[in-house]
Amino acid sequence: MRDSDHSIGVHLVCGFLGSGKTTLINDMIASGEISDALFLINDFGSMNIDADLIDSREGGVIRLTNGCVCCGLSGNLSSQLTQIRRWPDPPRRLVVEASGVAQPRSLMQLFNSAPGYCLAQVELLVDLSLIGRLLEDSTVGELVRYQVAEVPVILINRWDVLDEGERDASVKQLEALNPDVTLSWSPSRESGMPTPRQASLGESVFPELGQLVPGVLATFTLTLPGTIDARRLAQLLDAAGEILLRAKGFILSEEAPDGCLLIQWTPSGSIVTQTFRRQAPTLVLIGKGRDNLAYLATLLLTYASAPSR
Amino acid sequence: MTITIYPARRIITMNPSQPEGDCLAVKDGRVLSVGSMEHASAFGDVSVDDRYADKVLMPGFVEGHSHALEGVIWDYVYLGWFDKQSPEGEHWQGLRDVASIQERLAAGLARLAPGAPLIAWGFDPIYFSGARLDKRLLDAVSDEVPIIVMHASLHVMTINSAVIEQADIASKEIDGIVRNAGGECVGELQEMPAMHLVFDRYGIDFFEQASQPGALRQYARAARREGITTITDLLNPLSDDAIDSMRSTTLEPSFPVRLVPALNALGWAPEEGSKQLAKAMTQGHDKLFFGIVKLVTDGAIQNYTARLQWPGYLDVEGNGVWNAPPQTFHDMVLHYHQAGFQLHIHTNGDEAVELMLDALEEALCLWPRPNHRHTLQHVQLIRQDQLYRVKMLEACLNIFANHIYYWGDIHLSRTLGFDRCQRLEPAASASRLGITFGIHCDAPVTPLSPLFTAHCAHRRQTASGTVLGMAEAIDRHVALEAITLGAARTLQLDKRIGSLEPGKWADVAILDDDPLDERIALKDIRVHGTLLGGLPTDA
Ligand SMILES: [Zn+2]
Repeated sequence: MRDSDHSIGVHLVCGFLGSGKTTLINDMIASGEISDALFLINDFGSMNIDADLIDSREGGVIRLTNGCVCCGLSGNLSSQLTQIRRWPDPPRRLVVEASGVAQPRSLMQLFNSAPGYCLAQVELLVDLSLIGRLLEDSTVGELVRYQVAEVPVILINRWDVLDEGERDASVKQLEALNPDVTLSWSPSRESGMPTPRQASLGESVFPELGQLVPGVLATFTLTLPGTIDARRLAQLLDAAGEILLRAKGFILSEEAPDGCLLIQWTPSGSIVTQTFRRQAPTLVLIGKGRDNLAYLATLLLTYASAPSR
Repeated sequence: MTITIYPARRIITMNPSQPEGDCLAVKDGRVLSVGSMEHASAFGDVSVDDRYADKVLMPGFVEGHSHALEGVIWDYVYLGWFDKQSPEGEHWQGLRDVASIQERLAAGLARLAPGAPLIAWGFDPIYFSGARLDKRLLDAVSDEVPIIVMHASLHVMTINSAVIEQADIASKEIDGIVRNAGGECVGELQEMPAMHLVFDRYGIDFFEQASQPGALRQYARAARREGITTITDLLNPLSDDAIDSMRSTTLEPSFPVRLVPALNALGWAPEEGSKQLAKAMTQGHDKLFFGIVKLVTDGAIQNYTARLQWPGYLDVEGNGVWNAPPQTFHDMVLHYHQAGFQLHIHTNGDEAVELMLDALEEALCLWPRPNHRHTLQHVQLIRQDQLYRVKMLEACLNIFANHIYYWGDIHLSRTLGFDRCQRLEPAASASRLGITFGIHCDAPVTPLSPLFTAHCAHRRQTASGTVLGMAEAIDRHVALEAITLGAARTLQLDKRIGSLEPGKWADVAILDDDPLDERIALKDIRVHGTLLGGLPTDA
C-alpha cells in the first residue's frame, strides 16, 4: 500500500505561543543542513531568514538557495496537504510549525495516516520560564495541559533563566502530566540571551546595537512576558532612533504595582504615564525594517526585563 | 441619461427625514427622488415604468454575514431537518427520519454521473437523538457507489462501506474514526485528520469551490430571490485566484448583487494578510468591496465548541475551543486595527465576547480611531455589561437572530437552559443602547432570507413554537432597519446603500406585500424581485 520511500517525511514542531518554535525553525533554516524540505509555517510573519539564503520571495512563498521552500500554513491544512503531494516535484521532507492551539495527538495521527506522508519526528517546545503560568491560565491552561500530555518528546527552552529550584518544580509539573515523556534540553543561548536575570540585572551592560540598515516601514508587536524597567526601555529605544519611528504600549513595572505604565515614544522624546488598571503588556514598534524591529525586540527582552519577583 | 420613475403602492425608505414615498425616480443608477411624480419631473424628462405600481419598495436587503459556500452546496444532495429553497426556487422538504434520508439519497444516486461519489450535506444529528446515521443505513442505499454525508457542523461526516474501503479507513489509527466495541468502523468520521482521508481520496475542497465563478453566480441568484442586493462572503481565503475570480464574475452585467468578501485573518500572517488585502482593494469596483477582515475566535454553541463563561454548558462538562491562542487574537486585532482595516470578529460564546472586547479596548487605547466600526459577529450570548462596553467602544454588532428559530429549542433544553435563552440574540438591548447592529443568517448554516431573519428578531419563536425572551424582541421597523441600513453600516457602505435616499444607489427590494402590515408575518412577505442600481435584476 503506502510506499514509505516515496512518502514525505514530516517533522512536526508543536508548542504554545512564545515557546520558541519560530526560533527553532529559523535555526534549522539558517544551519542549511536540511535540503529539499518544505517548511509550513504558522506564524509566517515572524520568519527571520538571512537575506543571503533567500533565492526569491513572492506571493507568500520564500524559495531558499539550498532548494528548500517556506510558506504559510493556510486556513485549510487538509487541502494544502492534498496539493503538496501532487506537486510535479514534491519535497522529500515537510517541517510543520503547528498553530499554538493545535493538539499534537491529532496532528500526529493526521501525518501518520494521510496518504503520501509519514510522521518522522515530533516534539513539543516548552518555554520553561512560562510554562507554570500557562498551565494555570484560565483560558488556555486546559489546552496546554493536553499538549504536554500528548507528545513523546518535549524540547525545553529558556530553562537557563530559572534557578535550580524553579527548574525542578516546572519539570515535575511536566512529568506529572506526561510520565513517559522524554525531555530534551535546548542548549543555553550564549550571547544575546540573559544569563539568570536576578544575578545579572545590576551589572547588565548596555548592548551594542551595531549598524542597523533601514528597511521598509514595518510594525512589530512584542508581548512582554514580565516586568520591564522603563528607564532601560527608553534608553534602548533612544539608541535605535535611526530606524525607530514610534513605539507605544503598556508595560508591567514595579513602579506601577496595581496597574501598568503607558509608554509613548517618538524620536523627540518619550512620555510615561502611570495607569491604574492591568492591560495586556504589549509594545508596538514602528520603524524601518522588520528585521531591525525584531532584533530590537530581542534586545529589549534581554536588557530591560526586570526580575520577575 | 433619462430619469426612470417607478410608481409604487408604498415606499419604505429607512431615511428618517423622508420615511415614506410613492414614486421612486432613478437617474444614473441612483435614487433621485422618492416624492411625487411632479417633484421628480422637475429634474427633466422622465419615463414612467409602472410595472411595480402595486408593489411595496424597500431598500435592497443587506446580508451582513453569510458565506459563498451556500453557492456550492446545491451541487450536492440536501439532507437538512428544515425545509430549504434552492437558488432556482426549487423547494426541498426537511427530512425528519432515516427512511426519508435514504429515499433522497437513492434519488440522488439515480442522477449521479458514473464514477463520481454521492455527496450530501446539511444533516444535523442534534435533531436525531437516539438514531445514529451509520454505514449500514447508507449501505442500504448503495454499498458500491461511495456515499459521503457531510453533517451541518462541517466537523463530522458519515460514509458508507465503499468509501471506507476506497479511502482505506479501517487500517488507520485516528481518534476521529468511530468504531464499535468490536473495533469495526461504523462509518462516522470526526474532525479533519479523519475526514482528510476522504477529502484527499476524492479531491473534495468545498472552500476552494466557493470562490469559483459558478458557485458565486449560484450564491448571487439565491440572494436575489430573497430580495438581497448586497451580500457578504464572510470568510474568504482572498488568494490571488479567488480575487481574480470574484472580480471577473461580479463585473458580469447580469451578476445581480454587490459582494463584500472578508479576508480570513487566520489564513495569513498579519503582515502578509494586510498586504494581500491592500492589493485586493485595488481590484474592487461598484459591485465588489474589499477591506474587511474576519477573525474566527471560538466555535458554535450547538456543537459545544463556543467558549462560554460560567456556568458553561447545561448538559455537558467542559468548555468550547479557541481557534488560535487568545494572544494571537489580541495581536491580530492590534495589527489590523493599526493598519486601518475593519475587523469582523466571530464571537459566539460570552467568554469569546469578553476576550475580544478586551482586545478591542486595548487596541483603541493604544491607537484611538473614531468611526472604526469593528463588528462583533454572532454575539449570541452577549451580556448586558458587555453590550454596554460595545456601546462605549463604539463597536458594532451583527446578531445571529435565526438561531432562535433553528436551535432555540436545543438551547433551551440542552445547551444553555432557560435564563440564557431569555437574552439569546439580544437585539432589543442593542437597539435601546443605540448600538449600530445588523442581524444575519450565516448561510449555509441557516437559509438566506433577511425577511425570515427579521421575523425571528421580531417574534423570537423557536421551531416548536416556544417564545424565548420577549424582552429582547424588536418591532418591525427596527427589524427592517437591521436588515438594511443597520447591516450596511456594519459594512461601512451606508454612504451608498441601506436606505432609499437621494444620491444613494437605487438598490431596491420589490415586495408583493407590505412588511409593516401587522396582519402578515414578516417571514410570509413575498419577494417579487430586486433593482440593482435602478435596473431590474431579472431582465
Ligand atoms: Zn459565518
